[in-house]
Amino acid sequence: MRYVIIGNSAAGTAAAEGIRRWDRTGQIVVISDEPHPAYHRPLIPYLIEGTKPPEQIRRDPAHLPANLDVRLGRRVTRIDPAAHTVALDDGAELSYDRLLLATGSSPIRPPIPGLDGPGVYTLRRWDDALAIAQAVRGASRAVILGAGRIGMKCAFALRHLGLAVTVVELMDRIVPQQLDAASAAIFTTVVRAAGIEVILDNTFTQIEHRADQPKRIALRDGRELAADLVIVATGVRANVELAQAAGLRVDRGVLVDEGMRTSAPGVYAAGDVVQTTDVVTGEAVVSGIWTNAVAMGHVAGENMAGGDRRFVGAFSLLNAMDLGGLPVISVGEINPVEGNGYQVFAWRRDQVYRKLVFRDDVLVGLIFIGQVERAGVYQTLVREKAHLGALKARLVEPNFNYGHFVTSQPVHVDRYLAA
Amino acid sequence: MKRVFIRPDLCTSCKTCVLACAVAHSQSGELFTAMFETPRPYPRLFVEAADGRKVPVLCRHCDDAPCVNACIAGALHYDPLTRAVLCDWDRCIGCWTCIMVCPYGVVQRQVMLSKAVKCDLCPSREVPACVESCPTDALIFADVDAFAHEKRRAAAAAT
Amino acid sequence: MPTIELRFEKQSIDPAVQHMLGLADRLGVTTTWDRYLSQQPQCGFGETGLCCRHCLQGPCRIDPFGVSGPTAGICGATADTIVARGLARAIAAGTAAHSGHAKHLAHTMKKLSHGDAPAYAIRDESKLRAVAGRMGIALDGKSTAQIAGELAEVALEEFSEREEPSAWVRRTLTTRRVEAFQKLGLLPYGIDAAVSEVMHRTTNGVDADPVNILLGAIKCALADYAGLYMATDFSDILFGVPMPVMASANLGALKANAVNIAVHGHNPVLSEVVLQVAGEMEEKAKAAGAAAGINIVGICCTGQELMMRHGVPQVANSLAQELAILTGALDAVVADYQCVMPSLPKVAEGFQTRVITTMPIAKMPGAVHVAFEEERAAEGAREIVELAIEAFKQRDPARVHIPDVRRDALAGISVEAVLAVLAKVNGGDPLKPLIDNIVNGNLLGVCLFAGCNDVKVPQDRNFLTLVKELAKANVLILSTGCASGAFSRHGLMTPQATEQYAGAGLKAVMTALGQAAGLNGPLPLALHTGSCVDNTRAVAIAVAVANKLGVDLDKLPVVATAPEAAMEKAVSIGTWAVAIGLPTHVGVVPPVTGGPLVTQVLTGAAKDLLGGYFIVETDPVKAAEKLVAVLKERRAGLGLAA
Repeated sequence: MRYVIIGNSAAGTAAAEGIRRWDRTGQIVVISDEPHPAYHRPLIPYLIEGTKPPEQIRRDPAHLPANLDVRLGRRVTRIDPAAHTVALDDGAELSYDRLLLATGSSPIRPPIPGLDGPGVYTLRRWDDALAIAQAVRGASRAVILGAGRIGMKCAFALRHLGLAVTVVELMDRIVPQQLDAASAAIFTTVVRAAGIEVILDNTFTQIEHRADQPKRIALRDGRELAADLVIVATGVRANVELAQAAGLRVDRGVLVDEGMRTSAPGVYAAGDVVQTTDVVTGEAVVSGIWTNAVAMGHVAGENMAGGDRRFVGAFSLLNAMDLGGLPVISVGEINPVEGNGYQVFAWRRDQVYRKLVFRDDVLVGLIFIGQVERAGVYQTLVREKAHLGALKARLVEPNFNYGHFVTSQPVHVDRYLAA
Repeated sequence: MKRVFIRPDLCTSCKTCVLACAVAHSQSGELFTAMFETPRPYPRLFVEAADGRKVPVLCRHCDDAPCVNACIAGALHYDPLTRAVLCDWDRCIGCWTCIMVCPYGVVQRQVMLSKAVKCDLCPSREVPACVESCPTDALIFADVDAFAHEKRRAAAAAT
Repeated sequence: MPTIELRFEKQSIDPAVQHMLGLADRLGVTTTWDRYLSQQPQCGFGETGLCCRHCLQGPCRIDPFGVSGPTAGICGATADTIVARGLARAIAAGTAAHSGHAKHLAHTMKKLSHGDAPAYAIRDESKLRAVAGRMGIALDGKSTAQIAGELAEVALEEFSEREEPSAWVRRTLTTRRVEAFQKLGLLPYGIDAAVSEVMHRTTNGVDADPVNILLGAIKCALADYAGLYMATDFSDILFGVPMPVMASANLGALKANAVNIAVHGHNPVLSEVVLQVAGEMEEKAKAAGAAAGINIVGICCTGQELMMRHGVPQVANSLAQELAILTGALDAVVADYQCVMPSLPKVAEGFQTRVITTMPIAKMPGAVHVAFEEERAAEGAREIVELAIEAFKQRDPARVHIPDVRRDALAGISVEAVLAVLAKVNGGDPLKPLIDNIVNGNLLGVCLFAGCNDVKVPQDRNFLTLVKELAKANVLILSTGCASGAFSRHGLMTPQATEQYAGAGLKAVMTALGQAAGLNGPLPLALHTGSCVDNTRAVAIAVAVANKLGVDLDKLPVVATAPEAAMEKAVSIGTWAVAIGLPTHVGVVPPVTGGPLVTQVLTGAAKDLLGGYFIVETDPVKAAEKLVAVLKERRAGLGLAA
C-alpha cells in the first residue's frame, strides 16, 4: 500500500498520523515543495522577530508519525487520477493507492500598481519569513496592507524589531474576521499603545518604487505614506490548480464528501485547499485554520487507510490569540444579522469583554477578551449545537463552568465521574 | 493506565486539592514558602460550583485530545509512556488555542510567563498531589479499566 | 438585535437593588454578591461546622461522609464536640456584640448623669423610672440624674461576674422560666463572664461534652438576651420610647438636591447626635447649594433606631449598603459598628462619598476616622456633617442615579405604643383585646420576624414569601432589624398591605385596632417593633400575656423566625429565643449539620428541655406550613381551637 500526501503542513501531517492509526507498515510518501522539514506555519512570524529558535518552530520529530518518506523541495506538476500517478518536477512519476491533496493556499496580491514590485512581501512560508527578516535590516518604516491576523502578527513582530509600523485596513476595524466592532475597539487601543499606527477604511492605490525599494504609498483618501518595507496580508486563496487540471470537482476549494473524498476515486483532500461546510451555519467555507486542517487531515488519513470517520464541518471562525498581551478567543458567528432568532449578550468592563450569540436555544458564537478561561466549555456547546434549555440563563453568568455539564449533561456523559 | 477519577458527591469543596496542586507545582514544594515565590505557583484543577453541586474539574488526559490536536505550536503532546497530555513550555507561545478547545475548561493562562498551564498528573509522584490530599477520597487515582468496571458494578447494584 | 441582559433575581427581589446591581455591573464595581460568587463553591467542612481551628495543631476536619476520612480531631474532639464548640463561640461573639452596644449606652448614661455628655438627655423619664424600678432601684426623692446614674451602675455591674444571676434576665421573664433556667444552670452571672466562660470551655482540652457545651452556649445566649433588653431600655430612656411615625423606605428616599448622610451601624448614641446637629446645620448645607438642606437617611439598624423615633427614611439594609454609595447621591456614610462592610471605601472610590468611621474598635483602611466621644458628641457630629457638606460640593450630578423606588412605612411600634393602642380598645385591661382575639381564633398566633439578609438567599425573598403565607393564616406579624427593613422597603408596613395579604381574622383585628388608634384603616401588616437589638420588645408583650394567662412562654402560640439569618448575632438571638420557649425557624442552614447529636438537640431535644427548638427550613413556603402547624399545636395545648 502506498499513500502519497501532497503537502507537509497541518493537514498532511495529521493525515499521516491518521493513516498510522490503521496501517503501521504501508508506505507514506509526503511531498513538499518547501525545502524545510515540517514546521508550525502559524509560528513563522517568530522567524521575523527572531525570538524563538527555529528548532522550536519546526515540528518535533518525536511527535511525528514514524516511518515517513518525506521528499522536500519537490513540486508535483500533475496528477492522473485514472492512472493513480503523480508527476514530480524532477520528471519522476510516482504511483499511489491513495492520494491526499493537502496543497494549502497562497496569499492574494490585490491588483494594485506597484504591489508586485520589489520590497513588497507576503507571509505564508518559511522562506517568506526569512526574506522579510532579511529586508528588515536597514529598513525603518514598514507599512502593512491588511489588519487581519497575519497583518497584525507581522505588525507586532516588526514593531518588536524597532520599525515604525503602519497598518492599513480596508474595513472599519482591525482583525475584522475575528472581532466585532466593540472588541476591535479594545484591540485598537492595545495596538496603538504598542506604537503601531492603524489606518482604517482605507487601502493602497499605488506603490512607487525607487532603487528596488518601495518609497511612497498612495492611499485611497489621498494621503501618502513613506515606507521601505511593505507586507501584503489581504488573505489567501486555495491552491486548487492541480485538482482543477486533473478534472476534480472544484469550487472555491476542492469539493469533498464527509469522508474527505474528492470526486476522483482514491483521491482525498484536506486542509486549506478544501471547501467544506461551516459547522455553525452550514454554509460552504474554505477554512484557513490550523485546527480545522488537523481535524480534516485525521479524518482523511484514517479513511485512506480503511477507517470510517466523518468530518462534521469546519468552524469559519475558531480563533485564539494574544495580541499585545491581551488574550482573545472568538468562535462561530460573532456578527449575526438582525432577525432569524438571534440574541446577543455583550458585557464589557475595561479590557474584559464577553459576547455570546445565541440562535434560539443554541449558542452559535462567542468572543472572550481579557478573561478567556473556560472558553472551551462554551466552544463545545457551539460545536455540538447543544440545545441549552435552562442552561442558557447560566451561560451569561461569569462563573459558568464544566460542572453545569455534569448536572445537565448537554453534550456527553463523562466517564471520569462517578455517578 | 492510571487516571484521576472524580466522585463529586464526596467533595466538600474544601479546595485542599487546589492548594496541594499549586504547592506540588511550586519551586519549594512547601505551602508557606510557595506563597511568596515568583512566579506564584498555579493550581491545575478547580472545584466548580454548579447548581449547588460541588464538582472538582481537572484534565481527563483525553485519548484524542482536542488541545493536542489544536495546538499550533506543537507544545501540547502525549507522554510516550503514560499518554498523559503535557505542555512543553519551550514550545508554548501562549496563543490560548488549547483554552478555546478544552471542553472541561481546565487549561489556564500562566499570565506572567504567557504559557498554558494544565494538569501533568504529577509525573514525579506515585499519586498526584490532589488525590493524595483529598480528605474525603472524592478524587481517586485508579486504573481506567478498573474504575469503569467498578462504575458499572455500582450502577448495577443501584438498580 | 434582541439582547440578553444580566438579571439580578437571584441576588434580590427588591427592584431598587436589582436596578442598582445593573448599574454596579456597568460601572465595574464589585459588590458583596460578586464576592459571594467568587467564593463559590464554599468549603463543606465550614458549612457543616466540621472544621476546628481552636489550637495551633489544627486545623482539624472531620469527614462529613464518614467514608474514609478522619472521625476525630487531633485532640480527639469528635464531630459533635467540634460543632458544639463552633456554635458556642458564634453565640459568644453575638453576645459580645449586642452587649457591647448596651454597655456603650450604659456608659453614655453614666457620663450624662455626671454632666459629662452635654449632647444627651433623659428623653423619657417615665421609662427611666420604670426600668430603674424594675431593677430594684429605690426612686423616692432622687433626681433624674441620680436615678440615671444608679441605673447605669447597675447595668455596668451586669457585665462582670456577680453573686446573683443577671438581673435583666431574672426580672424580665416569667417566674417559671427563670426557675427552669436556675434548675438547668442556665442563668448567667454576668454578661462578659458568660462570654469569657464560653471562650474558656471551648478552648483545647476543656469541655468536650457536646450537650454540656450547648448548655453553656445557651447560658451565654441568655446573657445576650440581657444585653439586648438593656440596650432597648437605655435607648428608649436616652432617645425616647418609639411611638407610631410615618417614614419612607428604599433608595428613592435619597434626594438629589440635598446633602445626603447615611448613618450606618447600630447604636443610636452616634446617629441621634448626627441627626440633631444636622438640623442645626441646614443653612450651611443650603449655602453649599443643597436646596433641600440635609437629608439624614438610615442604613442598617441605626437607621431603624432613627426611623422609629424620628421617621428618618431607611434606604438600605446592611446587605445592600454598597449600593447606596453607587447612587452617587450619598455624601457621607457614617458608621459605628456591626454589619459595616470593609468594602465601602473601595466602592466609594470615584464618588464624592466620605466613608467615616467613628469608633475606636471599628476602623477600616481607606475611611476617614472621626473619633466620636460622648463628651464631645456634638463637635464630632458637626465635623462629620461638615465633611458631608464638603463632599456634596464635589458631587458630580452626572453620576447621580437614584432609583425611583420608595415605599411608605409606619414605624415605631414599641411595647408602650402597642399597649397605648390596645388601651384605646380596653383602657382597664389593655391585653384583653389581644388575648381575646387569640382565644377566638381571629389571630392564630404571633410570629416575630428577626435576623438579617443573607447573600445566600435572594434578598428579601424568604421574608416576603413567609410573611405573606403567615398573614394569610391570620398570624400577627412583629418585626425587627433587617426584617423591618425588608418589610418597609416592600411596602408591607402599610394598611394597604393588610388589606391585600391578611387573612380575614387578622384583617378584622388590625382594622379594629387601626380604627381605635385613629388611623383611617387597619394597622400595617407587619408591625415595626424596632431594630435588631429590640427583639426583647416582643418578649415583653409575650411575658405580659403569659403572666396574665398564668402560663409560661413555651405554651403561647408565639414563634420566631430568622428566614435570612447571616450574622453571629442572629445565632445568639435565635438561641435565647429557643431558650425562652419559642419554636424558632431559621431559613438558611447553620453550620451545625456535621454534628448529628448537636443537630438533634437543637431541633429536637431542646423542645423537651426548654419548649423552644430550632426549625431549619430553607423553603419559605414549607417554613410557613411548619410554623402554622406549630402555632396550631400550641393552641391545642392551651385548649384553643386551631
